[in-house]
Amino acid sequence: MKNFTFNGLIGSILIAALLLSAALGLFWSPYDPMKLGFTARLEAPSSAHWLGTDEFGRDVLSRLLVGARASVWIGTLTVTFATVCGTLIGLVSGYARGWIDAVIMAVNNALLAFPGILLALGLLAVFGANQYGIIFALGIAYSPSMARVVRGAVLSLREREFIEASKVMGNGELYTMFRHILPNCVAPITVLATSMFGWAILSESALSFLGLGVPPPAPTWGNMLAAGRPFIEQAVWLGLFPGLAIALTLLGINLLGDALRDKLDPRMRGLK
Amino acid sequence: MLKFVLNRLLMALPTIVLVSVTVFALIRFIPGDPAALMLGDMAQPDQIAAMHSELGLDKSLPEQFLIWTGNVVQGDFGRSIVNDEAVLPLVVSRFLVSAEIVVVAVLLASLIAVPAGVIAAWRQNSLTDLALVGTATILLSIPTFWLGLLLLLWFGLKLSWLPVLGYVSVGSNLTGGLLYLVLPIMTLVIHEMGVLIRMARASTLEVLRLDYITHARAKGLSESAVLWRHAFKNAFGPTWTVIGLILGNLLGGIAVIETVFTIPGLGRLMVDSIFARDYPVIQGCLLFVSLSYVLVNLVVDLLYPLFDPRVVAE
Amino acid sequence: MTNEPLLSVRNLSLQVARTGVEVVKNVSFDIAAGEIFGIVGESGSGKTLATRALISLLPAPIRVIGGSVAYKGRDALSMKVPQLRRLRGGEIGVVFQEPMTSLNPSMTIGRQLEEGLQLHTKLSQEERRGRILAMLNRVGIRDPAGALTSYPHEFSGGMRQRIMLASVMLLKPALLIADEPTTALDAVIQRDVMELMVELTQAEGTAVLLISHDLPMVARYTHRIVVMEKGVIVEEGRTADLLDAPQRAYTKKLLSSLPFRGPTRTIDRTKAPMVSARDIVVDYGGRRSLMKKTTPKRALHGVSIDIHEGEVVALVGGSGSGKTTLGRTIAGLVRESEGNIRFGGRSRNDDWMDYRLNCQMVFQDPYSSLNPRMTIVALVEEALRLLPDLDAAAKRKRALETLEEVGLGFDYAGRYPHELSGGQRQRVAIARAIARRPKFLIADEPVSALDVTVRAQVLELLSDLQKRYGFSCLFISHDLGVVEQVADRVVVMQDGRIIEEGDRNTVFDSPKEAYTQRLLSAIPALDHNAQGGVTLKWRLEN
Repeated sequence: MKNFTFNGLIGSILIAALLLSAALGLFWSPYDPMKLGFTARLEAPSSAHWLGTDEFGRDVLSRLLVGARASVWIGTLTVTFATVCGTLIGLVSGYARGWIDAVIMAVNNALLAFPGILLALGLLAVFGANQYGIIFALGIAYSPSMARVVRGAVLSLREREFIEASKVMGNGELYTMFRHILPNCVAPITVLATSMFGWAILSESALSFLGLGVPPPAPTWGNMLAAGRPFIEQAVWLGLFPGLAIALTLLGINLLGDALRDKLDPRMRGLK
Repeated sequence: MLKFVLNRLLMALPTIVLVSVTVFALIRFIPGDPAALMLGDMAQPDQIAAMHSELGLDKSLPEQFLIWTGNVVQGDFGRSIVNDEAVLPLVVSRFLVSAEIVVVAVLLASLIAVPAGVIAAWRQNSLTDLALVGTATILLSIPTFWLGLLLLLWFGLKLSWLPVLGYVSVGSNLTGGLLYLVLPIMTLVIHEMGVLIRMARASTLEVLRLDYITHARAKGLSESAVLWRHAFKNAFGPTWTVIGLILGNLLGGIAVIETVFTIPGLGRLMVDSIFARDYPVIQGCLLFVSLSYVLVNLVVDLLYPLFDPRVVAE
Repeated sequence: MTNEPLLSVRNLSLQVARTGVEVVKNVSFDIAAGEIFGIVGESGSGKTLATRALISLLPAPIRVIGGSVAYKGRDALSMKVPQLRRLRGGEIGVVFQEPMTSLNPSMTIGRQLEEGLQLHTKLSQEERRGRILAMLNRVGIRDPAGALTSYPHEFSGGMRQRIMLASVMLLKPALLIADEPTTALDAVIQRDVMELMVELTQAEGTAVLLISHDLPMVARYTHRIVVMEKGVIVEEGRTADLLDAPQRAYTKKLLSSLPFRGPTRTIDRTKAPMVSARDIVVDYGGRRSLMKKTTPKRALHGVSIDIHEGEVVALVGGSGSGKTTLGRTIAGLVRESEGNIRFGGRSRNDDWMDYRLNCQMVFQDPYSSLNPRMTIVALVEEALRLLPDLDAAAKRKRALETLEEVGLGFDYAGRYPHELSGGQRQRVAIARAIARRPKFLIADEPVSALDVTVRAQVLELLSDLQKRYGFSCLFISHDLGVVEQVADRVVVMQDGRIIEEGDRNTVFDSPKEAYTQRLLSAIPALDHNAQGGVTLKWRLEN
């Protein structure tokens, strides 16, 4: 049996690179990412500035490293928020059934009826456009998906005979929920959380690109792209590298997500 | 069949109500006097007082909601703070711009991606399959705004084949208008192809391992008859649902593409309104897009029995 | 006419491409025109793969590595695609096991039946329609014209299998491959479909290759038989000879694993019953949701049943008879709408914990009844969790002892369910149920997911344990053969009502109700002989 696929390997390498860059950006970068250098504006990549400089003469590589940190941080917090809220809501809803389930799911479906980033945009209008506004907005926007997946898993697990066996043994509802149901929900939660991490990073950069995310001068990949846009003809690297960073990160997450799904999804397991 | 249609319509109702409640509530969560928010910073005290009674702010929240719903149903979405334009016509005119891009893009992407996905599944683990899935995964991972920039750089600036910035409506100048749409549509098509190829492949794979496919082969049918007559229709259901979701999601997320290509669509209107704190317009956009999303999914649901007659029976 | 066989398979060997495992080794057999030929084997015997290879329909990872298949003297393995397609359907038809998934759900029945005719005959549209209607009528579809425009989901499993049969027989093939054609069907319907199949094929002169795990069923309809085990043919011969005087150990083992009538025991029924269910009514789905009110469906219409101390009561019936619902109601998994259940003389509502501690259950599907994320010993230990007077060490000790008792030694304790075979998993489920020394055990189809030889072992284990601990048992099964082996008393259910009950010998030897008679006619009475063979006697046949 192949335990880890080629996809999973590439995905892991890309994600490891992302995390390393983020960690590196925490302590060290080749230059101060905020330091303006009016003598070295819009310089092409060179041995001094590997990825060139931007319109204010700031080092692009340094800003990318610090931007990685912002992406990972926002992604992690958003996913944690959505996973905790969504899992709790899904568990309660799937386990309680009846009118509690009906009410929770009606609200959940209404939230899901807002297309993707739109709900986040609406919430940003309320919370204000900054790092924590984004985390809240995206966290709330993603929770319903997690809730739906967890509820689905709970409902299908409830039909499994080992849940009935637990009932016949005289075990209480809470015990059954945490001993038998939750551990068996880990696989779908992990798979979804992985994709969510990607959605969060993408949405954050899209919002920053729109000017609704982390405000400049703090660097994120999205606002670097937005800032580089007017200079893209003279300084291709300003448009190239931040986007490449986002794309490689997303590719890593997608590949890792596929590998996880193949490994964790019991339906796929049965096929081998 | 009638029962199925009625059932689906009934199921959409609570969603529509709750979506409206959410949009209504969202704006009320913003700290400050809603009437002042709705009128902007330049409002005079007497205007605010008039707005107070118009919104029924002295009444209970449910009553306020009913007043608001009543206005919305009559087509009164309020007026823009910035230029005092009526919100609904503004939203609709911008929506049409976004919709033409999104609908054409999704249509083209489906036409290319679905057959590609089916063929990838049919040739599972072959070189063709690996190449298609690999390409799809890469396409899926490229953010649209970056892809848009790159296309703009290449086709617009380097090759000068296509206009770079701006927009001309197709109605006023057909060829000119189309030229402006090529790049945004191309961007969306490339990205959504990634999603759809994978989806079509996955659902085709599910179907191909079922007994009736083997049975169709055992009847002596040709591979193309097995694939297109037996597998395709059954595999298309889940993909069809995803096409609906993509359509709606693009309507919500089109702002970035419109920003890249400076197209005056709904997404741009919404973002500009957020910058300008033009709450009546924000509210109008939110409501309009989410309701059209509900509507698109409803239509998708209602057409689903074409691909799977079993859903009617449930 | 020469004596050339219709189909001749020589030294066929199949391999899993990636791992190189040989799943079918040197299989040879001949089928004569018009003959009914059987292949019997348990799961993993390679019987299905061997027959799929005949018309090149092997699943992707499996490939032919040797041997030949000759159909009417032509080499079928090296045939070009166009020839092969004429062979498939036109000359060799296939009926699969699962009627629920063998028909395309999004295509009308008429269209699916017509497809084959269009491909293999030159009939006009009217002629095709006429043939299809005649065939549907012949296989017993009530409204053939209406069926043409219907979709598969509008038919029951038995009806779908008839439609499958119609679709294949329309083309008058020379050979019909029937792979477990009735396994997914109810016992009573099984028989009808088999009879129909035999009648149709005999009328058209079609030879049948019948593949099944069910030796008595295959024996009933075939002239010759081969027995396969682990990809190899272990024995072949005339059906009657093979049953009467089996030569190989595996065949003898298969035959001795067939259920037989267990010893007649005397049960003391003078005392009050251990479990007593009175006038149980269960309604399903009578919920009022936001959108609509669904009318309840009555699953049980006032059913009463008594189970005495040390008694094994079998609950039998087809699907939809309500036997499982009754079992689950008594287990407390389904709430009764009316009626009451008494345990040890008291209403069970008086002390639910006492009832839970004393009533345990073994489920049907050993793949679904064990939490995949717990080790074997943890699964059994969990059953002791609520026992008040045992400390942790004593619980662990008891769990290990119980595992030992069901034949799973110490080295199984730390494993997870997916590392075990189906039979071993069912042993774990039994260990979990008896670890607490319950007074009452409900076994819901405990052996129906298991292979024949494993089934015999698990049944033996269950009755050993029952003798040792003396618990009462409600044994729910659709398989009357198994019931005949284990039950003291038999209760027959149909449509949510009890229609007949009595001592096992009485019910099996002189059934009163027509439904019971039909159930019994599906299973043979066995006479074992000195050579390890058996004589099958079909009940209620003239």
